[in-house]
Amino acid sequence: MSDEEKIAAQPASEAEPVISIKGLRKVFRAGFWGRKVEALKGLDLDVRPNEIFGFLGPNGAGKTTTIKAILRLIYPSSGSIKLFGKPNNNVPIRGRIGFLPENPYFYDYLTAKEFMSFYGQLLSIGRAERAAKSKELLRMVGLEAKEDLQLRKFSKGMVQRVGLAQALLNDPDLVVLDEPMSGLDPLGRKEIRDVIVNLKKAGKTVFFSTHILPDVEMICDRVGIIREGRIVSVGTLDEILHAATQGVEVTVKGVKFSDLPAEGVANNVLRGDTLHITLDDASRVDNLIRVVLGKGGSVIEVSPRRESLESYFMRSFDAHEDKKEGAPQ
Amino acid sequence: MKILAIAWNTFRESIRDRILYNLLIFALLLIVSTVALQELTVATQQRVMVDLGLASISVFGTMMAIFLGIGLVYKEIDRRTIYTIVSKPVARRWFIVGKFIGQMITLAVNLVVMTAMLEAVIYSTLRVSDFAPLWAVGFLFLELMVLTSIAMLFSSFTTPTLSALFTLSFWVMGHLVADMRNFAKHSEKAVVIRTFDKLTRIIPDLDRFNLKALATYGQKMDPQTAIYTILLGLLYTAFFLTIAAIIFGRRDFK
Repeated sequence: MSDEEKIAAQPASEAEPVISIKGLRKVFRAGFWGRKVEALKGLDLDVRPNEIFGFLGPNGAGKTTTIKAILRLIYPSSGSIKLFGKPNNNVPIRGRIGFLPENPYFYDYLTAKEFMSFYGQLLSIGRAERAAKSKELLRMVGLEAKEDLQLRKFSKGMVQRVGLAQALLNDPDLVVLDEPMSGLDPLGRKEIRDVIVNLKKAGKTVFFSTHILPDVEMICDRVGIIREGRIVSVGTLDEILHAATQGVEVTVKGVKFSDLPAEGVANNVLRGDTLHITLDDASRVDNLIRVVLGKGGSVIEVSPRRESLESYFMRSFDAHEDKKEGAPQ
Repeated sequence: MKILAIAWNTFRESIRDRILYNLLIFALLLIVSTVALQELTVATQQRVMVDLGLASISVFGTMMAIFLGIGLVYKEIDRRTIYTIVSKPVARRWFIVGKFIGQMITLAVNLVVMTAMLEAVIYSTLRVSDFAPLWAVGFLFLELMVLTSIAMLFSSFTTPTLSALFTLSFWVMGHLVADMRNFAKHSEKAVVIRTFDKLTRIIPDLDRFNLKALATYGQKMDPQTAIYTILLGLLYTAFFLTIAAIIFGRRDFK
């Protein structure tokens, strides 16, 4: 059994984190007078093997700064970052990582083939393997026919895709993507989502930041929400959104609203002959069903109303802003 | 392999840059135009052609070294191409060395083309082969190595405009080191003596690499001085590159 298989075979919670960040702080100097700006304020985060981890946060929250610190493009002011259990200053460990930056810009005088070959050389991949891998990855991202075209003639979406191809050249165990869906059309976004899901199937770990919340809901195993340099929420979507469950919707037929108890009803809508009743508390469902059946009606559907990640995100962000405004200056 | 990949990519970037061709064409035209001087001079035709030809090669070589050199590191950071390089298993110091080697290949190719043109012009005009300029171009290459390392040093922490300004200052002062020493020797003011003494210790004496006068008169540098000058050039280059690598290794890519 290979190391990869061993890790994949371990339960996610027991395996060593692929990324482990403890107390990460980053202070930048900004402006003419070198004013201190604390971009990360003691961030803790673990990303487990073989999971798709979505890293969310508003603009300026510290997502890209965290990613840059992971990849040692910037140095932390304090705290530690480990990749595969080793400090991230270990240069060879970067051979196990693939990275696509936000709005990537590459050497535009290179053709896609030359571009892939150059990055292959940086990864010490032999000539024959480089050529084969380059062809395979360019085919995967739909650019095989454009391999002799200079990148300066590529559209933004094509640059994003060729960037993704270079990130996968070394068959990385960890793939870090900074806003991989930004600027892409729905089809392009779906292609990237498919690549991410396939990477997970191949036993890889994917850590990506994004603004596009429906994509996160579709593919992420866990998410972390960062705000003002701190992680405010981390867990599976179920864990995060469970607390945000907004009552239960009961769909019934054959009764009038006036037949039903009014307590705990947050909303009711009549559509045709069906009545959609939203209860604010799941404990009232049994009583409602009893009354409906007692009146000769029938229950068609009972479904818990879970908040979408987007509305959770917006609501918690608004609450935070309100709290800040209310706080004594 | 990684250093060579970066070097080759740097060279490839230069040869696909139109600015380089414009400079090269202009330099070649200037070298060819020395033919016109045979009408003005009689006995010293060869001397004048070598002198002007080498001056053209030197000016354009220096311009290429400075203006390509100041963008070598800065452009990578500004355009964020550095992100995908440094996040690969490539130590930052090797990136600096690779960029430097790439730039030196570019300059070597350009010097070879310009020198070949000068030799061709001399031969086609006077039917003589004069190899004295080759020595001068060899030592000019050493000077360009030092200049490139200085340009890269500034380029690793400041903007291209300031890098160009600082590197040009080093170039001008580097050719005036002997004069500054002389000036300090004859000065009576302690401040002047101290200042010029310090400056001449910091600034590399680039005039040591200037063999144009010797080449013009068909003379060669004696071997001992030549070896000393070569070692000095390599030492200066290693010194500036090391500082560039240290600064580049410590900086954040925001």
